[in-house]
Amino acid sequence: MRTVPTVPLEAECISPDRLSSLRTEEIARQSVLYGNREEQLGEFFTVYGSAEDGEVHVEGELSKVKWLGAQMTRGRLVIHGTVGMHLGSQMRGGSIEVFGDVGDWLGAEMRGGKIHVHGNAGHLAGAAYRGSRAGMRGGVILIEGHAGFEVGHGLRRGLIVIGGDVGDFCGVNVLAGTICVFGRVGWRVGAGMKRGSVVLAHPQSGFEPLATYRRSGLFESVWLRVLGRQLAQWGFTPLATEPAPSRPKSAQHSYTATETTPTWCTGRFWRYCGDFAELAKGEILVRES
Amino acid sequence: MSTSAESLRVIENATCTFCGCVCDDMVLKVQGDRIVEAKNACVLGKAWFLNHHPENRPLATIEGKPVSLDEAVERAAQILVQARYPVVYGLSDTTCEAQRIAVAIADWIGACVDTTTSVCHGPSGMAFQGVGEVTCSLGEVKNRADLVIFWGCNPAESHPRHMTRYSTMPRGLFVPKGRKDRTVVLVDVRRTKTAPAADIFLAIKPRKDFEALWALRAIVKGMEVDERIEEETGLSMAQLKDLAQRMKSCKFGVLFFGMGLSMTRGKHLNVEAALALARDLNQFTKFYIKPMRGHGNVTGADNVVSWQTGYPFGVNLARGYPRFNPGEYTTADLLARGEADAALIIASDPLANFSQPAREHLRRIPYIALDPKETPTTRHATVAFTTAVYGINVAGTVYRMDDVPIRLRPALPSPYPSDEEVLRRIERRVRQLLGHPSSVHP
Repeated sequence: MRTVPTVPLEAECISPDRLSSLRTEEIARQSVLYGNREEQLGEFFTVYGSAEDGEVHVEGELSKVKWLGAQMTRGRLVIHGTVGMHLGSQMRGGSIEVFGDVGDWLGAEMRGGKIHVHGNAGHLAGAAYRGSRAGMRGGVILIEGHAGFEVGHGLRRGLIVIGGDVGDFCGVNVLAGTICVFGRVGWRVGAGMKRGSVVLAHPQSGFEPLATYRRSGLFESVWLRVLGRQLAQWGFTPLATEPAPSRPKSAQHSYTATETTPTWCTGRFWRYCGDFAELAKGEILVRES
Repeated sequence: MSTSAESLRVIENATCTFCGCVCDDMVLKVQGDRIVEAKNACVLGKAWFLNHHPENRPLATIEGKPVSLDEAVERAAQILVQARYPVVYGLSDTTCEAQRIAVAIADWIGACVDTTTSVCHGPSGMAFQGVGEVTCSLGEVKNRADLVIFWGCNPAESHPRHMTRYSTMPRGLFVPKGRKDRTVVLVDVRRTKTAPAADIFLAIKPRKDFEALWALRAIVKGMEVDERIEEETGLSMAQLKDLAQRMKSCKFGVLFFGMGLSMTRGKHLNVEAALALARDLNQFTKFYIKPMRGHGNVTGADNVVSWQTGYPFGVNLARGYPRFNPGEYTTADLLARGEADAALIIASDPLANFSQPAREHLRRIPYIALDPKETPTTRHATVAFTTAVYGINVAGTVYRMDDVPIRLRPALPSPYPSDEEVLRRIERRVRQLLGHPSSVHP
């Protein structure tokens, strides 16, 4: 980025789909909405190289730049810096990697693809836009740092993993899908959840179940190990510090854990089922402290 | 006293625009340029009418210096046309006619249009979208309601005639004995002045409304809830079950909620919980829910912005079509993030009540303020207009809190133009500057 915008810049054209078939000078001529007027991308960004291979890199202070990678279907978008709202909103495929923080509405209503954020995210990651019934409908959102309120609001399918803490109403009105939190949680986790799973991997997550949830037992889960190994494979390093294993080493040998299985997913989890104010087919898995 | 019968005028059926009740049965006595008596008005209405006095302020100012109306309109239009991310804000204390022009200006200049709803019942507006509202008019409440619940509001002090005129005291068609035929419940964090007027007062712990409403939803459905709810909310299981039973067995129940729900931790999701409870109760009986709206015509602002753009507040028109996203396009947030580069503020005082970063940003950008009185916002405005007071000087339409439009009957003339007049002139000039002089706004 050459010129930092003073008012919001809406640049949904920055997506591998749109740029891969264009020459450098054509990319610079792509229109962006700067406040209430259209401008050319080249006014703000120095454009070089080509996106023929489906890979686009964006660099700079992008906190007022919105809608990057919105509705993208393929390719790879890499962002170096802090980026604004609606990143990867409604994307269907491809991948986005962010080395920095992102604003609100990350991957809102996305349907496929993968977003990996190495910093923190704002509110409403993977959420439903106001007035929509369902939020994210597929794909993966990985946030290594903290996330704000209403993570996965109305989640219908897909996976959201937060390496740090989350705000209130994590997994509110979830229809299905999985949310995994490595840090501490705010109030009212899983309020209005119909189906789906919220996994709290921190043994002291600060979780207070709503009165409409019921504790249904302590168990070890195979699919959590699959999830743990997959996250390790993706190179996901949560911000929240991994607590020391609470179980003696001898006990750990009884698991089928391999060297690549992280310790968090091999422990035992309390299962809370609910939300009984709704369909009550959801679950919150809370790591045994 | 030199009271002479000749100079005393009486205005029957005048409308008070102080609060959302919009009582339209005022009898005002006017002497000279003062209202000397306001019969039927509550304590707030009396203060509204009797404290009205002629202003001694310039018609318009630019950077604090008095100027003519034309000069001020020109400067205002220039600011708005040049702005890249302007915001039109306020609107709740003016007539629907003026609100309509303000939305038109926002449309021409591609602005965000937002009302004071976003800092009071905005979360309720979002919740209405999420869950839906089971709605009725206050007339229905008066004639039918046998269970009235006030949750997180204090009508005895904020809407003094709400209870006597609509909700608890009046005799109605199906509640012939008035107050005796009704059960009134108050849920609040402290014993307010409304509490003595209620049959049941439930003292809930602060910020635990969501938990209580959510538990009530489950109890109404016949589910057992965890006993921890007692410690968490401060309400006993017996109290919750009793309330749930009353809600299910009443003939016509209504829940009025205030900013105790919409502006405490949880915000729109607190309101969603209340709306979902009201919705669930309709499996058993007739149950309705209404917000207790504050400002005189804030309901009108929601209605006008809704029928013009499709959304009630927090609307962005930069792309030529409306987009709705509270938090992104709401004034308090976009000022706090330092995004707006100009503002048009109508009948509102954000410099007195916004957050520090928002106020600081507003001071840095050029903005236009319309207000009948001098406020911190008008003092710092690049262009400030003194306008006539709606309801006292200006006729027009306002909406009562139950979305019923009511006509105003002004009592006094004013030397100042109305908001509508000023906005219409700004709109005309904006159109000329944008090259659309022939387009006529109805």
